[in-house]
Amino acid sequence: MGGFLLRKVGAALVVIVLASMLVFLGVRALPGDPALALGGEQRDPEVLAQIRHDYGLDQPLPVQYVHWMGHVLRGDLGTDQRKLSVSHTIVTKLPITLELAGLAIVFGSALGILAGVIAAVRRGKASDYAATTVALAGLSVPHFWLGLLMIVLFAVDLHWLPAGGYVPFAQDPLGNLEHMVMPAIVLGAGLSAVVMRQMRSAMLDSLNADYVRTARAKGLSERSVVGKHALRNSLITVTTIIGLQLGALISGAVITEQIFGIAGFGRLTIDAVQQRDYALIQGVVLVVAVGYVVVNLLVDIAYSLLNPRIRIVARPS
Amino acid sequence: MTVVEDATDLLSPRARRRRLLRKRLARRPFALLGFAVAAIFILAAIFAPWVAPYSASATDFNAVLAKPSWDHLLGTDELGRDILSRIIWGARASIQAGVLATCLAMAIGVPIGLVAGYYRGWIDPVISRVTDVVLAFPFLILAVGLAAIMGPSLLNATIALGVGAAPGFVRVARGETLALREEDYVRAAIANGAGDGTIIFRHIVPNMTSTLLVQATVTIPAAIIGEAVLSFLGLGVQPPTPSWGVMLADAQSYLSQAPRLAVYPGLAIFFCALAFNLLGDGLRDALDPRTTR
Repeated sequence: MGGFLLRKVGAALVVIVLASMLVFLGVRALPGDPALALGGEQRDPEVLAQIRHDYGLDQPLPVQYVHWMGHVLRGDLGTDQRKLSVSHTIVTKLPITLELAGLAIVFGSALGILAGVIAAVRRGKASDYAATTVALAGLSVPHFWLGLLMIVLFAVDLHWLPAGGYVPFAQDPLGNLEHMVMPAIVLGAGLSAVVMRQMRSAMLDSLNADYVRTARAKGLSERSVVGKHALRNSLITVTTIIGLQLGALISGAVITEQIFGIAGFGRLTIDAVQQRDYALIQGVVLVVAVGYVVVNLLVDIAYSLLNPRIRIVARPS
Repeated sequence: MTVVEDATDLLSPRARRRRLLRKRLARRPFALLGFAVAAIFILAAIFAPWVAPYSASATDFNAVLAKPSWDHLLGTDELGRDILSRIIWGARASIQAGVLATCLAMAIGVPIGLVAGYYRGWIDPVISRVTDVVLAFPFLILAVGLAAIMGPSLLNATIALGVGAAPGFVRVARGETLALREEDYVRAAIANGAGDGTIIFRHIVPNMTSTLLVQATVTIPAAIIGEAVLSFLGLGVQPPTPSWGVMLADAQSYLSQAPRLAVYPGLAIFFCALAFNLLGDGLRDALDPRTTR
């Protein structure tokens, strides 16, 4: 297990270093002189040269990268155009998006797992066709459009829920949920469709496996066969799927926050690009890439803990 | 003397597989429906100047936000432009992004996957790590980065979508190559002294086309939705060029006044993506060796 963990962590570190290089080089490829952006109204060549010197912009790229990484490792992502700390801005916005993503995962997985189990257990029956069709429709629906339709129905017509905005949980728990319910459903809808299809497929495999046949032969009730044996093994597959869907979830959060006017991390990403705030773009993209790699590493480890065969298969021959 | 009972016996294994695929596909009405609807969208996009009742930019200030009528079957928008015409013209951007992004993803992903799966050794883990790096940047983040570097446009959005979808093709091509490399006919070709190029292009690539086709049919709808998202955020097609995403972004300001402005372009995206998904699902089932019919 130690070797497996080391290999996985090592591979993740390599990916993080390569991703950080890509982010660093990507930002250097942006049009415009950063010294001019930092100098504001100043166009005096001497002042600009001083700025380049102060920020290390006159150094070779590898030196700049090492210098930047040194700051990043100490949690310093630089300052944005408004002279605010990028790290601080990200730390303030991230919890909002994490709450949204968390609620979406809870909603999406609960719905997807339930529908997948029902479809597999009642294979070939009306409920199976209904669940499969709804899942396929769920994969084809542009979720931001679903968001617009929900705003029209639940906010504009019925006045049941607020059309947008955000209230911190600590300030007003009920208000927070009222504001987050529509965005969480919109963001979780796509996930639920993917989870449902995977869950149905994994459950069908499990229900045909020998150990389930043995459980049935022992005289266990169908409820126990499905719930204790087939479901438990199928859930392992779904764990990985949720990890793999993280990228889609991040992209989804960007657009969901835009529609519902939530000032979270996703909205910050779009604002950074629209304002061409390079330090902010660099920080935001790096956090996304590192977050993605770390979560996938955790999912890999969780998967191997749940399914010991993976550790053996993953061992190089 | 043997009697040939069925003409199928005379066909090559590849032609036999193709015939079987057609036969299995013909038994899947939803896949055929998906194919028909996808074809309608593609034809509408190609022949938009002849099919659309009005030009995409033709304004009628006497019919601003008009309800559906015989003159304007789906009504008009805030500038009096015909919604049906803009949806038909908008299909161009969506289909273009969907198809081109998929082609780009294939052009990047398939050769890389082939090299990783065929040569294995040190190149395989290197390619896997690079794929992981690309995967660490969700397509929207990639698109955001590209828009920042090169400016927002349909082309840059298509590139971002293509690059984002490439790892999927790398994985499929690698997996298929690993499996096909162990087939008897490939081993026989190696034993006969065939070069790497011959083996890859004559024996491996032709035998993975159906799997790549399935991957392409699931990538196209994702790219179509992706284009709509990017155009909605102002990172793709720029107004006044019609696009379903741009139409939805414009509709946001009129949600209480004229919700239909948001309904129709969304339905177009939904039906177009659903058509490709139905086709992809049907193809996957028809190609699945476990499928009995």
